[in-house]
Amino acid sequence: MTKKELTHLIRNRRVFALTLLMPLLLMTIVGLAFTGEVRHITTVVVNKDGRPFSQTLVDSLRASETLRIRYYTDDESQAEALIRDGFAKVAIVIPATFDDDVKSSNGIIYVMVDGSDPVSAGAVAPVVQGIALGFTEKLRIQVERLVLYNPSLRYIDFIAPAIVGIFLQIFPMILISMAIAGERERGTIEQLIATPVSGLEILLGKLFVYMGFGFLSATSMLVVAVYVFNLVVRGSVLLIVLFLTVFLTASLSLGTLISAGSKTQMQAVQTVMPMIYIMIFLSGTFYPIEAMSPLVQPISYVLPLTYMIHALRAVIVKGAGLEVVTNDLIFLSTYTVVMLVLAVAVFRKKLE
Amino acid sequence: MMPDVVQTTQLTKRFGTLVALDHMNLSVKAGEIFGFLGPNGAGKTTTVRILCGLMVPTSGSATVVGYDVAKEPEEVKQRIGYMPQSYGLYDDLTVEENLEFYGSIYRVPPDERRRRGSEILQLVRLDEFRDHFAGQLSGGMKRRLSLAVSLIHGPELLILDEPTAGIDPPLRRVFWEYFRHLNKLGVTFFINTHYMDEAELCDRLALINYGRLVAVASPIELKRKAIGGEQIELVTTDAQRTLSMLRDVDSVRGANISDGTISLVVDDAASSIPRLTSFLKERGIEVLQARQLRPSLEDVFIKLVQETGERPRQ
Repeated sequence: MTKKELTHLIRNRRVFALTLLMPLLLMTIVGLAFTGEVRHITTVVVNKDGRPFSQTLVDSLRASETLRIRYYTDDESQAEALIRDGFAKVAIVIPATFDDDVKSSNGIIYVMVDGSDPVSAGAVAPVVQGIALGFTEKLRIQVERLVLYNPSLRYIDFIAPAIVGIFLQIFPMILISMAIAGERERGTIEQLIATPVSGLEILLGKLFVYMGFGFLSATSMLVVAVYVFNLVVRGSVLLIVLFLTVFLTASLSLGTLISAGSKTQMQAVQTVMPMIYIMIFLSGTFYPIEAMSPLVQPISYVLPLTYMIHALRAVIVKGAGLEVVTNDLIFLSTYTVVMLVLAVAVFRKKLE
Repeated sequence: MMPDVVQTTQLTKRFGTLVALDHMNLSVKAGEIFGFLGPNGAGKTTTVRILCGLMVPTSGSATVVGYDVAKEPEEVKQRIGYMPQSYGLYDDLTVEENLEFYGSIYRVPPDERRRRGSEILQLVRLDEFRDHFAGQLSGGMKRRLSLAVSLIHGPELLILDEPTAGIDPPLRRVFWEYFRHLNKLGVTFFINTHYMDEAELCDRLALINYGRLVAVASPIELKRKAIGGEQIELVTTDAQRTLSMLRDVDSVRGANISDGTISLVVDDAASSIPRLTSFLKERGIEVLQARQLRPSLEDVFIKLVQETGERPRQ
């Protein structure tokens, strides 16, 4: 009996590969993605002082693994703009009187963090405090944290937009690939394509229905987040709808592509599963991408979900406008058009 | 002269190294019931799938209801009805919804759809089940619904892939009543089958094996072709003498004796029996019993298929 089952498993190459490779893949991804400490947080340094003490402080900050200092300025509002537009997550502000304050053992530096990413935001202040302590053994430097956008650093504000993105990536993709593979599995496709209805019509019919379903799910999720968990939607609803439309089209097209290679619903699901794991863990849903191993970061940056989550967080939590999420929109639109064209191309009205 | 409803020229389909259809030339005339007979794997389903525009031939061409299938598949599809071998309707839609859906994608106007739908459901006796989910129907009813769906747009040609496979003989007869009825209304039929009793009912039969056409003729002609004429059986007062005498008669071929019964092949049984009876009587032999043998199509089928030999290798 065991031997027979084992033979089934080995003969079914798809399942065999899945049971063998999935655990390896999953553990490797999680290991590389969740490095344990938050690192490489993009930082802007606002040095209003510029005298030797402040310069030394900046040097020590630069030596930190946690921070990746990308910008230097002496203008706080510029730093804020960088955070708002998503170029930096943290601003470290050194006041103009820093040199004098330190000498009178009364130094204060401010850490301005982006509350829409509570993981990075929470990690940065203690690190800066540590650096400040090491810098002045005898002198006391106080670190004050200012949280932008999500002042109480609530995790729900961070996670809710991501969950919407994940859901829209996964469920419509699974449903449409199962619907198409199901027509093949039950043999209904043969009767259907024997009619003059075009392949495009068949595909669009399915796309529209699942698009509607996707909107319904997204809306209900956001309603729960807003009315039950007090999520504040700061940005434009219209912009959110635009992103939902583009993104839904992309995941439905991807589902269609998957179904093209699947004879049965089971095969479709088996193909989707590994993709889901990669998408969830590498898209920055739970953990900032900057902190992940450089080995997996390139994967993160080709996942459409990464851009979707970034855009949703920016629009919902930070109230960002179109100008902030233009890059996300361009990437997602390009991706969507490519996917849709491929989906239409592979959805041929023939049997082989 | 009416153009042929189906015309294939050197139609060939390969799946990898397997030749499923090998330079097939077929023609089906308007108004006939054309049977496509062959053993499993002979290429019957492949042929109908190409004719319905579901598959692209490797080479050769097919014209169906006046359109080249490869060039204008949608024109063909609009004018033909197709009933696939495996039932392929939506289990979670009702009988009526399935018909309605197919009516709509064939662009049958709504009121005509309703009228035709009712007519067809009455024809296949499913009108009482119009609100049942297709998934709840019995196997035979599913087949009837499948036929109904293939008729919703009033096709001029019906292509049926083993329409009565797995159906009990009484229901098979009922199906043939529908076919006859529709045929009288002018619908041409192209029917795949490997049932001999079904093949007997066709106007013309094409016999295929290994993707090649073995013979095309009416069932009677096919039998004649396989036997080389018609078969009669004689019981006489002196079998041995009868046999030696008849062997000298020109119109008699292949005379044999077994258990005292003589079987012969002649061109025309009806005229031969009285002629041979008087011929033997003149020579003092009494014919005790004479009858025409009707070989089953099955014998013919096996004989002709065996003659085609092995599957050609590619």
